[in-house]
Amino acid sequence: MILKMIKEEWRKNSKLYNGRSFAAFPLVVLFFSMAWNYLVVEFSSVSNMMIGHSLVAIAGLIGVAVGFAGFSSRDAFDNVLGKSNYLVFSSKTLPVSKKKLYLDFFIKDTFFYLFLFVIPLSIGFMIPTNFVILPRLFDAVTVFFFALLISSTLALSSVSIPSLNLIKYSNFRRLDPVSSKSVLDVIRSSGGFFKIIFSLGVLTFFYWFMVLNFPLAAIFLQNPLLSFSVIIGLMNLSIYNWLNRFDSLETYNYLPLDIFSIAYSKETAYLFISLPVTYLLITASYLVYPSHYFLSLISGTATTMYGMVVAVRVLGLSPNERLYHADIFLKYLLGIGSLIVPLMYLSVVYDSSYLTHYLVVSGFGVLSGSYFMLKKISGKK
Amino acid sequence: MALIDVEDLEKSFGNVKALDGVNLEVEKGEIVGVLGPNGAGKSSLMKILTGQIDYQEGEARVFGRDPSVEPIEIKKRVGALPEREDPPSFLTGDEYLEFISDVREESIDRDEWVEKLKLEGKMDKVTHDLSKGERQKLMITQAFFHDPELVFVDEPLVNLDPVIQENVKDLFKDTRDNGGTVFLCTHVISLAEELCDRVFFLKEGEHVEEVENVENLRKRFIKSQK
Repeated sequence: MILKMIKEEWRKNSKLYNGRSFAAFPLVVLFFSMAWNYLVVEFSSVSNMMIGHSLVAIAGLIGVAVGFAGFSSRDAFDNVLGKSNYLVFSSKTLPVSKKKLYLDFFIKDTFFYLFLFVIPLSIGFMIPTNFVILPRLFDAVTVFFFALLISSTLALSSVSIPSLNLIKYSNFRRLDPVSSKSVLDVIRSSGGFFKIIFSLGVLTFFYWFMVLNFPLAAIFLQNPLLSFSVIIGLMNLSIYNWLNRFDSLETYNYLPLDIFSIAYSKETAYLFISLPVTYLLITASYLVYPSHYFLSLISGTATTMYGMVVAVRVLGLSPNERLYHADIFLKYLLGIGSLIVPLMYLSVVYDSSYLTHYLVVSGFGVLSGSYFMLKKISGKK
Repeated sequence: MALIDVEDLEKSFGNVKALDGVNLEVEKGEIVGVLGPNGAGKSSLMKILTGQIDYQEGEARVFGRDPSVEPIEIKKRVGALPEREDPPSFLTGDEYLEFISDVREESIDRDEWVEKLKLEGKMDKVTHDLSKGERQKLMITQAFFHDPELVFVDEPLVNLDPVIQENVKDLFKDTRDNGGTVFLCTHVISLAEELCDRVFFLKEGEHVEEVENVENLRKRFIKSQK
């Protein structure tokens, strides 16, 4: 069954994208991992032991992230995958127990993400360090496995948190119908709004853990709150993913809605959720590192809005699937990097003499996001 | 001018020809059936006419407009009940009615529809937790609540109990009696026989025969498929 599931996963992905592009994704991971570690080994004082620790930590984080994707799995089965048929549903028609199928599915996912992320990532750590951290590979795989096991078990056993009586469609009257529906999809699906707070919270925690404990991070991130506000634009992609996970363009085929108005609704819903979450995380981080608060709010807004423009233009309304396409992934990196890289640089070297530069680059992000939305509104009219 | 006018319509999915030279006309105030076995092209025809998919050859006009050019204008004026579509999983029944009312910018008489389709006690549940039949009732509501001039329905009675089936049939007849038109795609011969004023037989994407008198439909349909 597991081999068949792996074959099924491969066919699904290579049908969704181009088989070769999908096959190249681990190579992209390997390339970036190796490039980063080469920089660390050659240009920093970070020890190999520390690099080994970070490999294990990252593997654990991937395990948590992949496992918590299980928050959506039950809903995804019903809403997205359910329209096709997959081996994991076989218990409906064949004498195979649901538990066994879930176990097989878990094992398949373990191998799948191991080869997609963990192995290429680890090789990218090994080569620049001349394989001296090879023994940590075992730790990384073990930590990945247990992180995945624990988080996916939690995810599968979770229930919708908010009560229907508290949050209703009519509470979002100011939004258009598809935006309201999309926000409710996220809030009412398994894990509720908690899944967003949790996934972004884990990344925020990881960031501050690195900043406060890793000498390398302290060297690079001299204004860590500013740099955090820049990175938030990247992290918020997960919110855009959630908003697009429970429907597709075809869902609205029978209604008088065109692709532009549906895309506009998704963007509105994205800003409706991501901007307050961004401000919340920046404010929480300010308690850890009280510096440059208002400037961070501005750059957080900039990267969040600009991130939306790149996500919509490059990833469309199926971001999760398209991101695994190597060509599209590179396009996304180039697109988002054109704001993130200069802003990140400015956040690192920032002192008051760079205020104008910082505001100009941030302003570009906010303006491009605003212009994108305004163009859509005028297009709708 | 005919409400629906289709001439030599062709549609392929890859190498598979779904429609191959279909011709038909539908006038105002009738229930017209498109009858065909599985894979005959009924759903593809409906999707083309409601602007959900494009066609490759021939012509299609609904209200004199080309659905591949003006899909939104057509969708605004018609009701559509697709064969395989559910209401959004995480909205309650009531919220779904609000949603479609907002999308169409038309008010909805919620109580009338709840009573008509016997949805009492179900409207505060998310549709994910409703039975297939109850979800189908909500889909029927969204197709008819705005009194469209033309309604496309694809296998409309699937999963409905016999009592509701009768209510839905009455709904189709009322629509026709009030000057509306129902375009019914089905493979259920008895349903077409009972409801339709005219029937078109489809066979492997080809328009085989137009039947004005729907008596003895079963025999004629089976003969048409040979």
